[in-house]
Amino acid sequence: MEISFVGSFVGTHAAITAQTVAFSNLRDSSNLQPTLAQNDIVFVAVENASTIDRGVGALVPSTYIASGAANYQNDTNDSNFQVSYKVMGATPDTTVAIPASNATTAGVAYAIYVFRGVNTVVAGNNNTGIANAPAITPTTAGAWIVAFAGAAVAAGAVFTNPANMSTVTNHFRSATITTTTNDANIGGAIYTAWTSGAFDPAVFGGSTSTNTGSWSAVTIALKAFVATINYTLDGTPGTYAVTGNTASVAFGAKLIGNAGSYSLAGNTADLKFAALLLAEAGSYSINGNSATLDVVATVALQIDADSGIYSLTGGSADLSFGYNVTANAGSYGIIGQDAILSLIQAAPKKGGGSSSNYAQIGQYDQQDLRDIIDIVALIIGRI
Amino acid sequence: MPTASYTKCTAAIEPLLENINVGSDAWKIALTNSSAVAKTSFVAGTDDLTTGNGYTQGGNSCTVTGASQTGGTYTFTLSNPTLWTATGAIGPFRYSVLVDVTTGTPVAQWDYGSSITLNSGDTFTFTFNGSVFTAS
Repeated sequence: MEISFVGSFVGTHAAITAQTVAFSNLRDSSNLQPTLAQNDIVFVAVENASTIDRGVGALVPSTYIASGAANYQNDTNDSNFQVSYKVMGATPDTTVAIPASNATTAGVAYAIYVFRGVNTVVAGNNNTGIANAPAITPTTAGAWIVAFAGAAVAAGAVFTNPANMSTVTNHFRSATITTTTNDANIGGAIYTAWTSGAFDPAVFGGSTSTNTGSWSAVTIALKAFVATINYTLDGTPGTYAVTGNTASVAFGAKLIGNAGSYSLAGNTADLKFAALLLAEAGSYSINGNSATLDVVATVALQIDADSGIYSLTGGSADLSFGYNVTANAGSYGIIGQDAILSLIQAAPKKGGGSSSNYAQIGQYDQQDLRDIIDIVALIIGRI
Repeated sequence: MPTASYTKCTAAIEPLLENINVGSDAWKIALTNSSAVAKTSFVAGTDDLTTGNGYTQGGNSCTVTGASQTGGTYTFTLSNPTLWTATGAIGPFRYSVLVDVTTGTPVAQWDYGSSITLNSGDTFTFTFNGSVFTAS
């Protein structure tokens, strides 16, 4: 926001009480009454022509802030000069109380200037004891320069605009009170064309050059108000996904997982001869095709199983001569068809007592059997 | 409030899985005018703005406020970095970069959309909209 001129007003009094001045007296550069707005900055320059030092704060309007120290110049007509400012709040003030004079013989002259778009911080000020407002070097682009001057003289005379200051209507203001013993002059001027470097306001014209008077002046650089911007950025969350390809569990590889639910799919596997299927305790389901237990030459085939119930089915088998059915201790059931005990080989006749002539079971003929029966009957009869 | 999407620094996925400890590492949000998407490392003052006018190179810290999984989804959250208040010009910058300070890894960035420069008194506030990222 660029600095703009809102309005100005000057006046005088010689009262020993504060004098309320309404802002409705302000006039802008079109000589119209302006409306003050929030953040407008109001400068009040007060000159009290007296015979004493009014001291610090005496010429600062209530609720205003002194812009620099009070300026006191000791002469026959003593200059007490003070510039103060106030930033308007949400509801701008409608009046300002111009401080009282110390005596009705001591004139007070004041100037009120209002600006808009000024940073609330006054960039700088400077004080001198002469009516020639000092040079100043603003540091911010767009700065405006305001010079105030006050004088205490025996015969009041208004200031005239410094030669290098703005000539826009109401940019320069001057007032004097001539009805007091110590007359007060006040003047205010504005420079709006500063671009760089130092600027030195020209000497305030007018007034009087009598050597009984005294002067003060203040130069103020107004730094343009720049609205701050509060940037924000709302960062949305990101996502990461970890995915993998289908995995095959090869022979000899392990799949170890923590507790949870896993699904492992694969192709149907054939459990082949000499391959092992090892599993930890748990529940597993293995589906397979029916298997045939074949005789392969003379190789002994084994089915090893832990305790449990197994079912082994197959084709009918003939137990032929020369083949053994061998089983370890335990209980086995072999179910087969009825068998006929047939003579396969002639056994030698019984004779003598030699153990080598005893017949083996399955090697007796029918006569031998009859002889045995007769012997058994004889034994039973004797019993 | 402008909203920007999470853009992954491409190469960061490897250190995220192999090196970075998301829950215990130190994190910062840094401001830069150069995209960090293709960067594999982060050097304060080189890969972000240099110190001055209210900005400290390397960025502002973010505290880990959450790093855990629920139902198979890992959620990582950080506190928002303190805002930047310019005491002079800061920038220009366009990107807010999430940096794992412990390993010097740029992990992600959010794009403001255009370069901005903070003037004195301006502020820049970065806010995580919920979590920083999730992984599943």
